[in-house]
Amino acid sequence: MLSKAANPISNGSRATAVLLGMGLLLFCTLVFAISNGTLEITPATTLAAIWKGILGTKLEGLELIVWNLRLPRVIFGALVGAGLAACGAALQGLFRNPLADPYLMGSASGAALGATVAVFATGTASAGFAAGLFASGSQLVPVLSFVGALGAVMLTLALSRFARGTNALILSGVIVGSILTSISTYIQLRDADRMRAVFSWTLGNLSLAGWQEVLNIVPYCALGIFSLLLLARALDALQLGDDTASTLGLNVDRIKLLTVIAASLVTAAAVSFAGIIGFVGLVAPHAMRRLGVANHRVLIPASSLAGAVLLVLADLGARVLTRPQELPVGVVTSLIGGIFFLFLMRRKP
Amino acid sequence: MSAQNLSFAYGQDTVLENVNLEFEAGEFVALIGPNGAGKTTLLKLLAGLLKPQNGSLQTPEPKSKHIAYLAQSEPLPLEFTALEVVKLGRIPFQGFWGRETIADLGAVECALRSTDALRFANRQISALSGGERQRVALARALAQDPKVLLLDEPTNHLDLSHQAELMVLLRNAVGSILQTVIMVVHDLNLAALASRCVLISNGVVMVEGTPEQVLKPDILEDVYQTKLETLRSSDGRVVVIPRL
Repeated sequence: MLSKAANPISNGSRATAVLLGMGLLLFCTLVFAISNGTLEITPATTLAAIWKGILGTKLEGLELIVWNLRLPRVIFGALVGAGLAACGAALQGLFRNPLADPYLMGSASGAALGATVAVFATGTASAGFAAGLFASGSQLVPVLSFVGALGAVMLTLALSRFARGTNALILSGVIVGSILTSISTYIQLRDADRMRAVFSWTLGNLSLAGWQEVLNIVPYCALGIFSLLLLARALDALQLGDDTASTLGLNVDRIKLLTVIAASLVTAAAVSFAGIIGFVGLVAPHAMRRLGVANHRVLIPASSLAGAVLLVLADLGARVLTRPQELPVGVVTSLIGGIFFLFLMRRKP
Repeated sequence: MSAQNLSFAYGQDTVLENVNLEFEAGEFVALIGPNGAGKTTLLKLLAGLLKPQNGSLQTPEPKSKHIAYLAQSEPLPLEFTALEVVKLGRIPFQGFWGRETIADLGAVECALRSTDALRFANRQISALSGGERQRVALARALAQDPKVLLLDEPTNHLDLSHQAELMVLLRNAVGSILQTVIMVVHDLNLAALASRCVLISNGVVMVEGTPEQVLKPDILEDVYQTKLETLRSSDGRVVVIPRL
């Protein structure tokens, strides 16, 4: 049996510590984010409201705010953050590139084009009405942006078949993203008011999240993250290069395709319901790697927890920094991302 | 393990032509030849990474459980520990959920011990020297518990002492933990340590036999297009040096 110096338990204990620590941090973050906002609510009231809500007991006063407004919002934010971070970790492993992010396959540009088409499809209706699509609970924007995101990824996959290799896939994603962005921009320039509505959406927004949005996104996140976890061992093997992974009995092309599909489903769902939220999928896996987590069976769940924490905190920042008005959450995540990478750059040349 | 009338081309570019080779248990084979001779292509065909266009290959099946392949400068994930990398060698033996068994851990420990990598098993790859990294890569291949080990220029980037260590390790491994080692190598003096040398040029096997039979100036000068001379080391091995 392995001696103490090489005991695999030493790896396992670090993984357990990181996962437990992140789980605890997420719980505290959720309670903190629910309790803070325009109206301060004590953590005790927050916990009591959640408990009563779960049991189905009658809620009153601030408890109604907790259960009906803030809890679904933070859970939605946590799910989006977890999904984007899991995709980031998986795609960084797939491409063996630490700068890969969930939007690398063109899904953000596809979703933006979908949202643009949804807003401009209102035809002669006023720009105010079109902008109201985002707030009215209409399914047109999420449905078209979801279709746009998945369509873009499929286009990327189809284009990449003309040339083999991982770089061809990245390049195809850049090409598709660039073309779709140019089409979106052209449509948007025809109507400045509606462009503003689309632009606001692209910066990400969790303010409209309710229980229905939570229910909408749960299947995508659960299925996507579970699929990526099943692919985790294969993603580890891919770090040794495609040839070595093949000689380990893995079907490398199939693994790449399945990873892209699973990640794209989660990303498309996230982007269609919450807009384009940058940096979460990039920062969370990096932060976990700094804690010594590298293999994907730990990295993916740990990044999910970190992504959830990050987006819930960013959304809290978006709610309180300029209250009573709200900032788009994408502005806050980009700010955090920029500072984080500046920190990384200074620490590690 | 054998190849009959094996041919392979990249597009119109024929790389191997009618190669016939047999590899026996207990052999340590060095594939030698000039750049572009087809050595790496032959190794990839034996590993199952390329499909022969003509001819046939008899290899132990399933390949992933019987043949381990160590690519030239295999990339190692810098943030993984050596142990995590070596454990990847057990993937062919693990089920859908990738659960590690006692047998897996035993094979990993054996591989780490035989490559003298146990003492830095829990260190990150980024903290290891070039020689230590190569030992980790070799341990990963040995953890597959293979019958046949295929290596593509494993001594690249290794200093003299690590080259010697690796060759001793491979020679000792043949017949004990491995049945056959087939290694592509440029350094003819390292090839002289093998039990058999196969000289390939322009996709054709020119000569094969013991190092003494293959590493002769008249044969090598013709293939490498340079003047050479051979000497004998104190332990009787052939030493090849270019005549300048």
